[in-house]
Amino acid sequence: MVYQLIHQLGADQYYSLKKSATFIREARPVPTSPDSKYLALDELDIPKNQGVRFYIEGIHCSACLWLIEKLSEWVSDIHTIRLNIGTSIATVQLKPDGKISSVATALNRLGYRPHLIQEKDEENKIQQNIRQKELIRLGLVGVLTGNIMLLSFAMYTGANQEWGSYFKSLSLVLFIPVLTYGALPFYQSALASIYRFSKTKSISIDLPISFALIVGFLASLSQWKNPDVHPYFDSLATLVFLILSSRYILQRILDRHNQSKHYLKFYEPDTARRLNTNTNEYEPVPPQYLNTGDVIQVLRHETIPADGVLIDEEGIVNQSIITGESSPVTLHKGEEIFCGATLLSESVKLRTTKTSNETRIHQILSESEVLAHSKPKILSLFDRVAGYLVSAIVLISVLALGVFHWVGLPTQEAITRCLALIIITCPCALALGTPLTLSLSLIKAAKEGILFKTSSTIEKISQVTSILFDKTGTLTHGSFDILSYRTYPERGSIPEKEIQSVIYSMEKKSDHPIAQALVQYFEKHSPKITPIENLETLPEGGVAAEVMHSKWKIVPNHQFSSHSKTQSISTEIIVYKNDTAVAEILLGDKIRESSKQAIQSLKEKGLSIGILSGDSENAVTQVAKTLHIPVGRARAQHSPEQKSAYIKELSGSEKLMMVGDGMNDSAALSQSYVGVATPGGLKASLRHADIYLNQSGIHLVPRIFEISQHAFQTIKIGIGFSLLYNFIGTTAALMGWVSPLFAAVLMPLSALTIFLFSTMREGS
Amino acid sequence: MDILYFLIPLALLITGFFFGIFAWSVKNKQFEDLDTPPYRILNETEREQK
Repeated sequence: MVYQLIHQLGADQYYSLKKSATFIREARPVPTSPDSKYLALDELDIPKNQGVRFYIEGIHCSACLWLIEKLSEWVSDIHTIRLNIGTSIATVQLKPDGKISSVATALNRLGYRPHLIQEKDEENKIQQNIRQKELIRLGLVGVLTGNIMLLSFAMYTGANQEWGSYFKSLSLVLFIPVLTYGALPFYQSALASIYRFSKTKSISIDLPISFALIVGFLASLSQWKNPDVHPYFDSLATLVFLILSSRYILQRILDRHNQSKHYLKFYEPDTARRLNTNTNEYEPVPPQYLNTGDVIQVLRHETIPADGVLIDEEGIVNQSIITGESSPVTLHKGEEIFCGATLLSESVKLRTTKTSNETRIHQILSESEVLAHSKPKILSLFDRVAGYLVSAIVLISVLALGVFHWVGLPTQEAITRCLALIIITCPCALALGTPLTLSLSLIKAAKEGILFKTSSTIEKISQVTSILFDKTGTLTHGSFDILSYRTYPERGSIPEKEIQSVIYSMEKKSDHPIAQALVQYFEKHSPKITPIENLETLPEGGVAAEVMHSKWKIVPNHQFSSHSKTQSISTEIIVYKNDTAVAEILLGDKIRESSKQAIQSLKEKGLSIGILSGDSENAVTQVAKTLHIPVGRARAQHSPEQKSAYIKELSGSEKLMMVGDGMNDSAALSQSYVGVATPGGLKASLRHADIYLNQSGIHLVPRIFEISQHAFQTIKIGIGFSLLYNFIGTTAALMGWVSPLFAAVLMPLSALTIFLFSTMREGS
Repeated sequence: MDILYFLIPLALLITGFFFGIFAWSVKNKQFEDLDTPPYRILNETEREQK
């Protein structure tokens, strides 16, 4: 289908482009009336003059870029379209009469899932401005540092007297912007940390850096008249440049992990169909424009756009997004149906009770948001070390002054040595090494599909003592599957093939989710379609029909009790021919292959494992047994609110990691010490997680621990190196050996060792 | 050697000029999307061959 469309558009080049790559785009079912689902986008009141932005799901390669940017030639509504591969955001300039819905439809036909970004651009503009300022600051400091180094080189190699003072003055002129504008972020954060000191009882590493910068500058000025002493400008400028750049890189990596998840409302469909009481027809409306009491129609496989009450007799929905329960739920007239659930049966009508920001799903999300913001920030090892270092240096300087006085050293010399001490013990290697190590390990993790949203999470991981897993969609596949199918010996001489084709033919006529699962399963065996007569739905569930003069029945076994099977079975179905049972089929949610292994390796790391699920007691116990998780730690039937409360209760004694995918986990993810989201039902839950995995299942969870531990260890060794250099520096300064030349060698040298060490350990 | 009194400030002026160009290009959003242009250039070559 996608191929046909591309071919029609004369775009065979697309395939020549990707010829060598094994690129078979998953042909997502193209809806029969693709337009209707996006029609309401045209009703939205959004400014179009600056371009409309879409977040596009499903971008992977350069061919996607080509295909999407080509759209402006194929779709007459588009003036220009630009895609950013890094963010998957396409900016579309529409023609004056262009419609948003036709752009969305075209993107959808190509196999992508477009999401219109409705939020204002302002937040984005502010971010962009900050980014640009930082980059310019970095550029300026880089340019000045380079020139100061050239001038200093001349001084070290012997320029003195007239030329010496000329170069000295020039480097002062160049250094002033570095000291004022370039190092401004250090002063700001140092001041903020002093201001917050009473609360946090810690100082930022920027305080010793700022201190060293100012002291270094003043010390250089105080020695200005002395032609034999060079200023410290070169080492200080290098310091500012290196730290600024390592922070800039770390920030860009984190931005990249965090973007595009802020403004997306994945739980709402783009269009709701509202009954217009005047014309008695359903009109497309954006879900946020719905009012309480509206009558809306939802088609099969669509997402429910608002909370409401069912008007029709019956409807089958998958509510796993909200409740975590994997089996489809049958709702009856007057029962509540929630926004975000998916309709599995034929179209239904409902009367809305809560819309837009009041829906239950929205409430859960905003609650999670509050929780996520109130999460306590941890005081990193790195900040603690910086704190000790500063106190130690101050103490040593004071002691040294006393000792110098006692041994009878001139006051001038004593002060010079103490100033040198402060400059040279500035923890610059630490300030450079830590962001660098974090950046490298974040990049490494991202390559494997683990996205960290904050860098402090790496350190938090090392403190985690136990993990709770969500069941549906995380440990299991989260879909309704056939677990096993077997025929009974009582079937006698009936061929296997016949049973299969009878089940297939009978169930094909039904819309029930169980029937669909059966059809999908037997389709693989390519059954023949058998003519069936007198098909009827039985009142107790199941279907019966006549096939070639025999009476066949496919019915759920209500007496079915969970005999200790290895999977989480929710339904057993028995097939009868003329009242003889011939086959049984077990349905349920399959446990992922990878879960067992991952849990085993997490246990080996000494972590305690538990399950926290919204699903039934029975299903949870069975999964726990299969995966060897102590039943005492497997909690079932917890609503999203209860999950969060349970985690709160446990967090007193344990550092918890929560791993989950659905909406129903989002509050729990924010409440836990470290929240890990796996891709599943809903991307909206991602924004409250600290880590996001981009592959389903939990096989990446052990890797999170390995990567974090490795990185944390690198940081610790880095701190060790840095302390060693500081020890050398302190000794040298107190003995009076430190000159600006000594500083100019030792400071970059320490930074260089840390740099090489971190890249070697975390690179590859 | 006295020429240095002239040449170094001149070199610094040139430096300032290039820094100005850099600042302009940042403001002009040339550093906003560093991922897409390398692919875009490939696609455009392809089209010319047609």
